Amino acid sequence: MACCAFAVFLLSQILWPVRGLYVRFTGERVYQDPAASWRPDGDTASSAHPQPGLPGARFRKRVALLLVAELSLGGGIAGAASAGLWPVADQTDPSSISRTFDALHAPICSALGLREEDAR
Amino acid sequence: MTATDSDFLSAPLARGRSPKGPVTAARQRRSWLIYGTFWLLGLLPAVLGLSPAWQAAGLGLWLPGAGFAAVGGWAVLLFPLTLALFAFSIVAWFWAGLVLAPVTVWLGAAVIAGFMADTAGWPAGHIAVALVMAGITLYVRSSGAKSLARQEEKREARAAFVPSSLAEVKEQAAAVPAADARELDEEQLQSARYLFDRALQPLDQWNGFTIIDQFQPAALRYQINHMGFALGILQGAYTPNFTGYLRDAQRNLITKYLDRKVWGYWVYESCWGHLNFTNFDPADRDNIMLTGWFGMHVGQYMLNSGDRTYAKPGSLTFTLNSRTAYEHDIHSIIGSVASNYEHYKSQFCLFPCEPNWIYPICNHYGMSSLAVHDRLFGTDYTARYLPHWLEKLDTEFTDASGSIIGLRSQHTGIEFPFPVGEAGYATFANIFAPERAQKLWAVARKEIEPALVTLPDGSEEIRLPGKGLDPGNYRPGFTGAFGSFLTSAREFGDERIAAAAQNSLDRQCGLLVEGGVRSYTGGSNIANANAVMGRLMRTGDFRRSFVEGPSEAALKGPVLAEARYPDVLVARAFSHGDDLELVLYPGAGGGLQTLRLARLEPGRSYQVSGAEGQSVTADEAGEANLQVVLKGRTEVSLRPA
Repeated sequence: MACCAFAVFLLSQILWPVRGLYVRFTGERVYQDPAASWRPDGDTASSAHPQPGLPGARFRKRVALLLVAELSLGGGIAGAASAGLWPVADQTDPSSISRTFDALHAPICSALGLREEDAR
Repeated sequence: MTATDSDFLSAPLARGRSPKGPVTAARQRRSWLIYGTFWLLGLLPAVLGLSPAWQAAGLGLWLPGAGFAAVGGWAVLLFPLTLALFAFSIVAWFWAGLVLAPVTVWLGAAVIAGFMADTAGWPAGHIAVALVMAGITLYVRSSGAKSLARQEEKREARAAFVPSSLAEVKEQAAAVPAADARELDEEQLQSARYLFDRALQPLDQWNGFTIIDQFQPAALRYQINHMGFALGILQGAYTPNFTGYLRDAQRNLITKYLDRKVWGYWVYESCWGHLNFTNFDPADRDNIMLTGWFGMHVGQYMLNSGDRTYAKPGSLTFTLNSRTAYEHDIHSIIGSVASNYEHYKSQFCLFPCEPNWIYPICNHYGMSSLAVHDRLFGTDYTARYLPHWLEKLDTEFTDASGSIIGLRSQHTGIEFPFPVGEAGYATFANIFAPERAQKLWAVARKEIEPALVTLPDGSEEIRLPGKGLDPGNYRPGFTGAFGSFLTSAREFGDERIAAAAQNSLDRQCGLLVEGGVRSYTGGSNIANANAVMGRLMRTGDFRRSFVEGPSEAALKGPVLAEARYPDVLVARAFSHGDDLELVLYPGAGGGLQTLRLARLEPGRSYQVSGAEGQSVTADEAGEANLQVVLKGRTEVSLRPA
């Protein structure tokens, strides 16, 4: 990856949570609040249990760790690539993953004038 | 025209063409002055030809993240990202009083841009940002002008229908139920059990409460207060002569409120909102979302039960840790509201919840707390503060349509949308300004009307667009909205809208009747609490529970002091002074139950009907036991022999 990799990464950070919020608030399932359903002698979920649709603490922790890992790994790689610290795509190797990624974003970045090598 | 009789629809006209009150205008001018200074400071590096780093940092003062436009290249994308982050920081500021969040994002981004700019960057950066600013300004002015036009149109429409609507409201509100003939029906008892189940559990348990965050509407403190309001109405209107588990439930809720889990949010907000790292007293400065609400709750309980425990010093102590506790009682809690109104009277008068954020609805709770204190202890808080408070409400917190502005920043004067609606304000205003409240309801009922739908069976429901939002759990749903309409309609005797709201709750909100308990599974705990309150209420109940309470005779007469829950459900407990009238239902099976009576005249004999035995004699402590066979609706009465 190179040049605008960090730019793409940044955009994904904006779109991903927005999409998540959109799915959450426009989902079709009928929500049942477990607090309202609780009975002292029943077996419905108490406030100590995760509420349906509202992730429990363990799930939220996992999502947070995932997010940190994704930000660190993805952001780090993307940043390094854009700063020229990551090996550029091997143009002689058709199977190179980096060549595939480069082919994906090259047209967009060139059109935006963000690839200096195309401008030379 | 007195302050309490002021016409809020004419308040915008009284301000002339200016849509802002004088304090609001002064705060906004100050904000613009500060921004203008930053803008000029930001321009200086470019004018003086300083290094790219200084120019980028300077541009960063124009808008959050604008400095990245001067850096150029891919860093330009950090400009919109920073704007989005800035929006989130504003939300954080609103959500939890994090006053440093927006400042940190804006200035931090400017500093980072300065460090990143080591070359000439994008020469057109300043022009691009200026164009963005111009675009934002044009959009804000255009939408502001359109909004003002809509509000003025709305005011004219309201002025046309309010007189006739108000006449109907006055007629409906005049039909109050007889105080000595109230009795809960079975559906009301099922609803009340929803509250008892939660309030009678051990104090360290929170089953059945919504627990998400403690900063905004889903917070435990609001749930506790509204559960308390519902029980307070039950106590005062239906069972003034029942202590027993009703008193336990109410006192449990008050004790739960003092748990740090409930009020500890204020430690954080004191730090990051007031930059106060030493004094976390929740009843000191601002925080009307605690003092006003809790003051109302405890005051209502005291008025309707006759219990004066919480007037004693230290009876409401907020314990921070083993070394620090903030001792309060009803006088100091409500006294805090009064002293803040005094402190802020030359500014907005209405004062903040979270640091900086003024919510008029919370200030309605605050003024209501003053009213209940006046009733309990003969103080003159409302006489002292209400006229000026209403004047500020009209001049600083009323828009061009006559609606109350839901939220205003104390520091900047900027308003933010926070939906409450005329119906919500009306119920609280009825406590301290009943004529104004009737006008608010006169507006609300007509604006709810288009949402009333008649079904084939002739009944009506309220159909609202979209998926709604339950503020008690931040999920989609209308339980909160319908409950609010129900309580307001009941308060003003509007049977049509009350019936429609009740139908809407029962048919659209996941009604569940299980084990003798009625709840709405589609709603949060606080939405359910409000629905319970609405089902219990009749005309004027909310107001009376805060400014009248039960009769003196009832508060002195015999009481049902002990009955087992849920075996014995109390639909009526009323005394004319020396007798006791009970209506009981079995809550779990039926059969023989033991009731303990108190506040009898020691040594006196009483004739009994509806219980085992025909008479009972009070012991030295003024107590006696009755054996009652509960079978369906069971009447028990006690009269002096």
